[in-house]
Amino acid sequence: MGKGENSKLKCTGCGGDVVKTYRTVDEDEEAPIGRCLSCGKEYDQYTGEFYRYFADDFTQDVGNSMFKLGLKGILGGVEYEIIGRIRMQEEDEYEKSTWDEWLAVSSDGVQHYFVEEDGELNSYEEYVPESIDLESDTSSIIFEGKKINRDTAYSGRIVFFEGELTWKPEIGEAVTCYDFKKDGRNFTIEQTDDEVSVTMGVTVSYKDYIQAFGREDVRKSYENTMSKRRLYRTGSFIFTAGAMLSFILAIYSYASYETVKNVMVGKSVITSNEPVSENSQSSYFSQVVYGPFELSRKNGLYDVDIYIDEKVQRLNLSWQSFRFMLLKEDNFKKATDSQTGIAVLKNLFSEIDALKDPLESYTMAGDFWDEKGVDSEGTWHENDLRGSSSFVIDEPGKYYAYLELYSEKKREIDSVKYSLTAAGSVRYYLIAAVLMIVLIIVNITKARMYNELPFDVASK
Amino acid sequence: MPSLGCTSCGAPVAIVNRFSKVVVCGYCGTHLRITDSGLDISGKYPKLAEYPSIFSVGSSGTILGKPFRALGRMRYACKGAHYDEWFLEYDGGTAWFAEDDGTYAIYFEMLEAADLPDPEKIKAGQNMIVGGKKVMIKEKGIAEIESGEGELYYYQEPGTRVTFLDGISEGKKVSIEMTDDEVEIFTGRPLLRRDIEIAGEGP
Repeated sequence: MGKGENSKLKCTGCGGDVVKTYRTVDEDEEAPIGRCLSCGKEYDQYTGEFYRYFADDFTQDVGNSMFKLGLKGILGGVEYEIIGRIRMQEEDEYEKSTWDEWLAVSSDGVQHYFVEEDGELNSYEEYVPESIDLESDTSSIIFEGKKINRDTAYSGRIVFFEGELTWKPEIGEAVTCYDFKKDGRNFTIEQTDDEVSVTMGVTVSYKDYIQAFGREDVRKSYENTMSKRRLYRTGSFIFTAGAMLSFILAIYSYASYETVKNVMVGKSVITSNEPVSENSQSSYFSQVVYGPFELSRKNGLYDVDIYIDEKVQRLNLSWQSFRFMLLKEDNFKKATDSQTGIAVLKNLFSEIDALKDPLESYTMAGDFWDEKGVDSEGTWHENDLRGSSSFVIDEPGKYYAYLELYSEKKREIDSVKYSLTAAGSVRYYLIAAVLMIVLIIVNITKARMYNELPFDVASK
Repeated sequence: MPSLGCTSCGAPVAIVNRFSKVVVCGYCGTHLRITDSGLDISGKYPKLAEYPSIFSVGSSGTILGKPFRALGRMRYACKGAHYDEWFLEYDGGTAWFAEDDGTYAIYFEMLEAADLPDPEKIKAGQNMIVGGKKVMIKEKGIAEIESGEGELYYYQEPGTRVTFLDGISEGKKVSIEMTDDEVEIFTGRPLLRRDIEIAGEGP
């Protein structure tokens, strides 16, 4: 809603100029109001004047409807002619929240209201109830024995009218509305100071009404719209099936997780806490080989988890870095001529980075650390005692694991442990499922929102 | 069927229903009060403009399967529009047929008079006790009688202002018409066009 002065707007109190402005209603929300420049009187949405001042804001799309005055259509053998319309704005909403009530007379001598709201179309006609009491008590009204709480009522304000109507409406006129169901039927009671109308309605299909009333171009646009929406709905069904399949496969895959046994057997310590110095930093260097152990899944995904076992030794405010390698038994034996002496191993791993063809099938490196300090919030203590990753081996078979450790202080080699788990492809299936869900949402949204028509049509 | 001459133009005037109070001369439009001694001029008013109606004076047929004959009508002006009330002989009695904006209803007299509150104080949605029955007032308005034609059982001079109250009671429509002199109360029901069969009208 635009701000701005309009010289036509006059205060009903003093005749002064009224300008459109805003009033802060919540912390960060502003509601439009009219304010008199002379006397300061304000007109909010609970005044009739407001709707005259802001009429344009509620009526810019009055042409966007499947109905128009004089339009005729035949439904169920009865001819209807559109003769008038009122547009109502919900009083409690200061943003546009309107519905149109199109008045039609039928060749059967009945007045119908075709109500268009939020893409839905309802047909209402006069209903004479067996009993109705709008004065039963201060908290409710009674309609054919059904108690309807007054709190469920809402107010509408007339913001536009055209054609022939059963009364002469005024812009800003307030109408109290009760919408309720009884015995599976929809009823509406609308009450003004001068009139009470009681109508019974049914939700009708836009399709039938467009067939009956629509112009050829509207019919075409409707068919295109519905056809596209069907396509998106079909897409959403397919992606739903895909997502479900992915979930099932993910569950199956999760169930096939298996820890590789005996990965830390066959330990050969090559070096233990050997002091080294590099860039004037001293540390301790250790090397150890484990294995062989069996990795039996061809092209299988494995998770490796390397961690400090604090039961063996706490890291205790120091750091330790590691390099982990997997070496296929055949390649390992070939490189060592099947010798297992420490000197041979030491020689092999001191030159492993210089080999023309990599000996290792997989490598992973990382750091463990344990720190503490003091900041404005007090003492802190943080550490990272675990590293993990995933890998796929090309060939199943027996493998050795090599661990190379640098530490700030002398450390127990056994305090660094690792585990290998034959993982299913659960993460890939989950990623696929999430992608499918995104596509489902996109398709459902498009199935609801896609529209070639100049007016809203719900997907029913 | 007594036949008299219009006291204004001399044209023959037929009176069909013994309860009729006024007959409008079809030739000169003079409103003639039916008295024991004959016809007295009540006033001369313009003839009704030919607004479309499903009936004309003398139309007959059935409504809800029961025979009717349209004897005359009163036309009311209200809020810039018009509506007609046709005086009918219906199933051996009398009835009013209201035709308003292409909608139809049939009414029967319920009470000739009743104590009613000041119409100024009545609001839509209010309950009233009329003839021992609770009536919810749906609409209140003021109409002005424009003119009439044919034979009329209920009659007010053209130009008379009528306060009307439309209500609902026990599943029926209630219509209350008040002038300075008279209060008349009717009950009725809405009709569909298919409830009305007019003789000579094609299927």
